This record gives sequence, C-alpha cells and structure tokens, in this order.
Amino acid sequence: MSLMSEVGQKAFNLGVPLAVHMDVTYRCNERCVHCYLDHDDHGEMTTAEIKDVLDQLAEAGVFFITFSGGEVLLRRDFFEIVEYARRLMFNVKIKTNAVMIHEKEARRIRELGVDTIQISVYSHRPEVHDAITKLPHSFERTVKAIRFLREQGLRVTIANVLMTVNSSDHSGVQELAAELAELPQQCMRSDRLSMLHQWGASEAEAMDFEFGSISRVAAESVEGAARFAAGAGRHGASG
Amino acid sequence: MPETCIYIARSSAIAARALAGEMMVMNSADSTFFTLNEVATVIFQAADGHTPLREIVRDRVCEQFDIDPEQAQADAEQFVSELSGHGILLVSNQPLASETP
Repeated sequence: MSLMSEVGQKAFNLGVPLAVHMDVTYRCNERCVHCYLDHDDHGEMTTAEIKDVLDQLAEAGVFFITFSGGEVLLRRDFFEIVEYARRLMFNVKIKTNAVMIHEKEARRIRELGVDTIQISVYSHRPEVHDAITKLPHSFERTVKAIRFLREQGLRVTIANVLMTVNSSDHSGVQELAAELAELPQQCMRSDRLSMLHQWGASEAEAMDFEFGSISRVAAESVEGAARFAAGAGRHGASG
Repeated sequence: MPETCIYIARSSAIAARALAGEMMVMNSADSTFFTLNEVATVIFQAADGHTPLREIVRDRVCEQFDIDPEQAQADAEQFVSELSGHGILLVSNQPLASETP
C-alpha cells in the first residue's frame, strides 16, 4: 500500500475529509455545449465567507482543495482566496479554462505554490474546440496559457472531455499535450524551487541552494547543450 | 568559541496538515509526499525562522518526549538536514524571515 493510500485510509477511519472541491463562482466566460451550469448569476459567497469556510476546512483536517467554478479567474479576489488557502497550508489545485491566464497570472500562480492546474482542451483543432466552448479564439488563448504555465515549471493537467463532435480527436490532444510538455521540466522545476527557497535566505545561502540543484538538472542541461550545439533552439524551438 | 545556531523555517512551496498527531507534508515543486512522526511534527511546527533549533529541541521536544537531549539534538539536526534536502525546510545560521505565499 502506498504512503498516500495509507494516509487516505487513516483519514477515512478517522472521518477526516482529506480532499474538498469548492466551486467559487457560477460565472463563466465560455458557454460549453455540454456544461451542467446554466451560467445565470445565482450569487456567490463573499471573500470573507470563503475565507471562513477555508478556516473551517483546515480545522477539519482537509489537506487537498480544488478550486473550480464557473471560471475561477472571473472572481477579482481569486488570487486573494488562493493566497489565503496557501497560508492555511492547503495543497491547492485549480480547474480553469485558462483564457485569462497570461504571463503575469502564471507567475503569480507559481509564487503561490499551487500544485496543479487542470485545463480543459476539447480538441487539437481550434475550430472544434471553439465550437464547443462557443468562445472565439478560446483554443489559441488556452494553449498560450498552458505555455505560460509550463514556462513557470507548473504542473498542468489537460482534461479532454469526449463527445460526439470531438470523439476522434483524443490522440490529437495527446500529441498536443506531448508537444506542450517538451520544455526541460527538471530545469523549470529547479528554477521554481530555487525561487521559492530564496525568501529569507542570504544571497550566499540562496546561491548554495541553486548550485545544489545542478545534479538534478545535469542530464537535461547536457542534452540541451548538445541540441543547441547541433543547431536546435537558435530559432525559438525548445525541444 | 560560541555555539553555532541553526534556524529553520518552512518553505512556502509546501502544503501541510496534521492528521492524528502526525504531519502530512507535500512539496508542490516536485510532488514529494511525507508523513512526519510526532517528534518531527513538533520540530516542523516550531520552525518559525527565528527560534534556534537547539531551543526547539530543549523546550519542545525534550519537554514533551522522554529523550536524551544530546541524542535529540543530533537526531533533530539529521532530520532538518534531510527535509532541507527535499526543499521542505529552509536552514540558516541566521534568523530567517517567515515564508508566506
């Protein structure tokens, strides 16, 4: 039995809800054909109410929290909510269509120590994806956002809901995911870890930690240098 | 020669929650997952960046557990070194600012 399974069983025996899914808004900027929400404004909890719920969840022993909606980033206070959740030391996962994530938002998500961002991609064909979301250019914006998030070394999960109109596109989405995963992840993650680790440390200590990551990134670095020496990467390609 | 102080603080990259006296810790940067026993949990919870490790061991660990102070200090230093290697704890010989996301 894995350590995670053991902990899950222990929490179950104690009646501790280890994981919670919280929908923070009904609002959405897409109108996906299969969505179960009607997108009407049914009202939503205030920032203070959500923080109060998070306090209660932490007290109850919840460890994993997933923020979803609606589209979470339509809440102007969303990063405030995530920051509060991280201060309470939740492991945070975000479900989003990502069309509002640009470089600045991706950086903020990294700074907040978010574990995973789950993003729906319905097809590798822009016209099919956009026909499902009913938001023009949503494919382009979503894929661009995934690149921003990957550049920050963040873990992105692509959710591919299959319906009649996109049932033949699953392998195309898998290929797209593989392409988006090509960035040297050990290097990106080590950069991210160093960034998170530097707070409160002196320059010398931060540099010691940074140099300590060399063994983790050595293989990727050597491969990358070889690719560069062979001419790759000089024209924008990272793989 | 004055004794070198070790200060420890929790990394902002981690998630943590106590479950029946033991601490679950996950590092979002590399998805490593740990559970800490009761003694380690006490040290982890006291890792505020400005209380020296020796003081944590003396005032928290030795107060709560029947353990030899020198052995406790040695074990604590080893534990802190291991968690530092995994990016869970920050270690310094100067007080550390508390890390918040």
